[in-house]
Amino acid sequence: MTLRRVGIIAGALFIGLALQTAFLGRFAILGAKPEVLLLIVVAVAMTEGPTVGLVTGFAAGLMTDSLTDLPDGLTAFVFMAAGLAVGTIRPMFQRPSAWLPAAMVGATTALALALAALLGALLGVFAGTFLRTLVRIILAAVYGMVLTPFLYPLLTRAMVRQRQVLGSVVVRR
Amino acid sequence: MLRMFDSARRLRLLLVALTVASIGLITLDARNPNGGPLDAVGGVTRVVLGPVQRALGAVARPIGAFFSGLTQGGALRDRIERLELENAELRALKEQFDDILRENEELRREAGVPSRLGLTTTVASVVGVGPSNFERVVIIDKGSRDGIRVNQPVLGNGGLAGRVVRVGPTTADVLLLIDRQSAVAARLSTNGELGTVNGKGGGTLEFELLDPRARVAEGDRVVTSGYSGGLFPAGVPLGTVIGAPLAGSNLTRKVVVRPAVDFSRISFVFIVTGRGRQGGSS
Repeated sequence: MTLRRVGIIAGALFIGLALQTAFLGRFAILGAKPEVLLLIVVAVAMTEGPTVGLVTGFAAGLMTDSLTDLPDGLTAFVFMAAGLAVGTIRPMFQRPSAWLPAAMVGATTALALALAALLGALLGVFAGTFLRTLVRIILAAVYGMVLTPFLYPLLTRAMVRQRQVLGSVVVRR
Repeated sequence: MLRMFDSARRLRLLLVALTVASIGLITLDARNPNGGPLDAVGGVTRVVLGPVQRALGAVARPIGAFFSGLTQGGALRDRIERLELENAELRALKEQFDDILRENEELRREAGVPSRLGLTTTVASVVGVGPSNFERVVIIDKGSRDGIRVNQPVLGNGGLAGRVVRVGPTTADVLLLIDRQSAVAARLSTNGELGTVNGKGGGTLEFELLDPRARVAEGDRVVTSGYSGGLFPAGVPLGTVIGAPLAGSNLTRKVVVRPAVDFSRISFVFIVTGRGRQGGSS
């Protein structure tokens, strides 16, 4: 973990947040926006492993929390769990596949938003109807999958110059 | 081997530390009604992010307009002509209105009734949306430097759009009426029945009438009640009753309301920066 890499991740998160709020978020599908920051967390966790994924998730969540009225720390916790989970299960997929990043982003977005909605409901902050929340979560996940081929390679390429690159998937060590 | 053990231990330590940190933040946020501990961080992020959002938003707008232009095609020319005609008509009406307004103000002064008009507004364009999928927030390109403050009412094309919830130097966040956290004191314009209009997170609003036996029909207009000292000026359109009455309790009654503002294509808003006796207008 070099300082350079920390800079790249921080820069990616910042650009991702700008993209999410000022650009992609405007093209919402039935109210569902892509979770660009989560996509970045997935890309980082896939290339750097669970520890860096965990910290990046926490940082990305903090950025989101600081800009919303949702309980501070909720998104940080959820994104952190997402980074840890992706980094941990990454070695289980030995064969590189072009679909893996998109599938990972879709599954992570769906599970992370479901966890956020559940925690939010427990904390009494967003008691939306079950169906609407479900539809929005699925749409956000699909949106993330669609964006993956465009954003994911940029991120991994920026992070892994010197590492072995197989297709769009990067193998750690 | 030793290294592996080290990294696993480091991961576990980090996990525990950051979990404790997030639970701590959630607790602190829950204990403080005026916003969470991250507000300061948000303020800093906003300062840096604001200009980027403004620039990106300016790029995104024509793209959105291009796509809607593709689908609408030749209808645009007709629309321009119709709007020009309407504009001329409105300009004539405005002159008449100004005259009546002056008369009304004079009469109010005679009768000792406080003025209800004279809103000072600032126009802003929407440059972005909030980052979360669980909030309905838009970002506008005016901030504290332009006199925008928290809780100022925001008007859209056709009615009330929401209120300012967070302010940065060059941008501000507007919580839309349709957000689940939004609630506005309202009345039916037909018979003055009082209630609150609540956001549902989706495209429609819910009007909760205080009187369960109140008479309400499809097509009835709902406007802000604007009780004295309230956040919103009185008589601003909120929406139109569309649904049959929803199930209510014995104490209240709920009906579905279609918002007056089309939130899916909101691009310009007016922020009410002042109201009362100064008598200015946009």
